[in-house]
Amino acid sequence: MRKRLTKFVLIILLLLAAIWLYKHPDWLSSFKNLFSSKHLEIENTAIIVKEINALAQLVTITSYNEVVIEEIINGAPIFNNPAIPTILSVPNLRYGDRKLVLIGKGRVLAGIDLTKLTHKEVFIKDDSISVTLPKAQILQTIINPSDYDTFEETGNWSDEETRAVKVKLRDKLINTVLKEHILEKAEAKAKLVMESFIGTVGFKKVTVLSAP
Amino acid sequence: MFFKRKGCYLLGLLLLAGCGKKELPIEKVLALQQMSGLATVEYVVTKIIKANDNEAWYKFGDRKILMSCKATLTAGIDLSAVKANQVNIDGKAISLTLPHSKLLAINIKPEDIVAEYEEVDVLRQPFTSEERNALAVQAENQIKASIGELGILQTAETNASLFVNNFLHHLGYETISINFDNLTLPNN
Repeated sequence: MRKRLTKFVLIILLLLAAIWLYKHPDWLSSFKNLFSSKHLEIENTAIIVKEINALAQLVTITSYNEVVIEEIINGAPIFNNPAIPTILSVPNLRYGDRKLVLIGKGRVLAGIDLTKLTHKEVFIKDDSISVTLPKAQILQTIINPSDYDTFEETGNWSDEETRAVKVKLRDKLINTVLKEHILEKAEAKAKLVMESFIGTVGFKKVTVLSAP
Repeated sequence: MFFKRKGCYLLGLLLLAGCGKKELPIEKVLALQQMSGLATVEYVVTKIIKANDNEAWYKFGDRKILMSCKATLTAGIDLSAVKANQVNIDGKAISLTLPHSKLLAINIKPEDIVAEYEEVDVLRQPFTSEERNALAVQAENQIKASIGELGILQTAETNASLFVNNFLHHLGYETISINFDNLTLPNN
């Protein structure tokens, strides 16, 4: 009789617990959060202006590209002295290889630096003007932290090593866009922009040339 | 017997699939955009990135990092937005309305983010490159959010006005007036 009563009470208690959990579903999730890893957040530190530089760059082309870089560093031998494995008759063991594969979505800005344009490059006669623009160049290559995606990372990569891989990725991006003839396109567009602007400010015959 | 053989094949296939090398993602050329932005100012700003991973109760030992970050912000105007109806010419006098300035680029170069200090206790994992990058992303967002307070857009307009003024002076104009909608910067 007592056994049956205990069983009955247990069933009632279980039922009550189930109803309570059904009514308070957030309690379960908060218990789950007890061990969940928290997102690491940085402190809101001050932003300090170090330099203010005046520019006169005409940006005429932006090339958006996605580049991938794979860097593998072979593991170093466990024994510093190569004679040790032979003496101990053990294989020459090495630490595991380290691999880092990064994807970078970057953009390259190309155009001309108008600070190089001096009065020697401007020739005016009545309502005609001839301007010789400086050569187009890559003005900025931008791959910000939010533009990187770590595809694979094995082993410990120091800050310096990671930075070197990111610099390689940026160089690869520059080489990629140079193959797309970005400078020629930037020069052609710069001529159009300058022709249009100079035409707007009152000149009837505008000739814009590129520096040889 | 048949199932045994089939099972072996399946196991073999599974093992082969498991040993497969992770394929590298395909590189893409996303777009080539023509523009006509006249960059007139760059601000070089710095920020210290501080993070302390000791918040959770079950983590024993310190794990903190201090990084320095430098960003270059570039702002300027869109030169193609200057239309003929925004220009008035009267002999050697000219007045024109330039468009308001905008931020053209934020550039945080890889060599400008440096981990200056790291303290990781024995029981904790060292910071991975992905984690360091995630912290830098937060710094980038904080810099983006502070653009309004830096006054870069006002400086860009002042510099644009100076540049256009000098350029028009080279072209032979003597009285030049440059406007930015409500803001007027007359020059002689």
